[in-house]
Amino acid sequence: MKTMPDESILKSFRVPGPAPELRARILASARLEWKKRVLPSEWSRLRNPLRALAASIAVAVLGQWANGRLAASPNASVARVREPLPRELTELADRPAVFLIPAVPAADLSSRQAQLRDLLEGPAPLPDMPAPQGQTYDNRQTKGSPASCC
Amino acid sequence: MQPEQDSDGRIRDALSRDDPVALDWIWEAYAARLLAFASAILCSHHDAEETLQNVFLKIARNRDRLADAVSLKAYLFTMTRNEACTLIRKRGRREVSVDPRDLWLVPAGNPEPGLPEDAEAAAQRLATLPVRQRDVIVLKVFREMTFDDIAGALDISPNTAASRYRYGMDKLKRRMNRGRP
Repeated sequence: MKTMPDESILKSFRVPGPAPELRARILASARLEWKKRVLPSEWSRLRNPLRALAASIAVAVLGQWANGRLAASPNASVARVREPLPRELTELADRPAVFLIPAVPAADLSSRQAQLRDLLEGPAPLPDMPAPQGQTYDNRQTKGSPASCC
Repeated sequence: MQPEQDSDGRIRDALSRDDPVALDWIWEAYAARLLAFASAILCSHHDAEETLQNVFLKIARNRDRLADAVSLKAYLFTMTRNEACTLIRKRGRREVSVDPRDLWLVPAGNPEPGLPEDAEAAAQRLATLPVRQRDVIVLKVFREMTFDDIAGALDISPNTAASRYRYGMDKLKRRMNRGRP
């Protein structure tokens, strides 16, 4: 029987294991990936299913996509989170589902957020459409709205 | 072997429920070994961490395929190898080189007296081995996997794992002895 070489030449070293902060970072981004539903550019196509889901599913628009903390890929992958996750993202990872919008330039972000808000809460009223009695359109963001985190 | 079967069973249960807690179980059971495996391929702790992150993103994305895998362990190690190779291609690296600022081998807590090798030199010498020998050595020595375990992970026979280990260690010893004054 062949004898095995002596391992002692390597035993004074170790290969570092995963650090706790690496675990937190990787698992949070993987949980986001698990729960994410990517909104394609054809926003209107998804309007009805999204409205149906909106009551029960948390929805988020990630402002972080615009400020470079996430290296966003064209298919909205939550890839390469280099820094410790911002608190908002860690919280998102604990939600039942997360909608991400495709990466957009910072300048477009606010219009995308408006689009998403329309998607979830209905389109903004036409300028000549009167508001219902006792309600103003500025107050469309009702309590408990899933878009409240936007 | 039983604990591994138990944890794989738990992971499969979570995958079948589409429950993201599967990620936590996979982490508990495999992250340290996958990170060491990626380190052995890439000879970089930093790149190994990036590979591990990509692996977990892929797990989340392709969880249906993982749930159907015959062997979770072999599937995860294959994913890790593929991700590491992708990173090598992306970086345009042909040969691994050890960056002293990014050591994937570090001194253990209580270095044995009389072993003059420092971690950088040891990492350099390990890096000169063929990757197939290096990864078996790393999993055996630093993650204390048996040859059967390694064979299951790398989809090779236990005899192949043992001979890669033996050849690699022999080479390493010769190179280490040659390097001493």
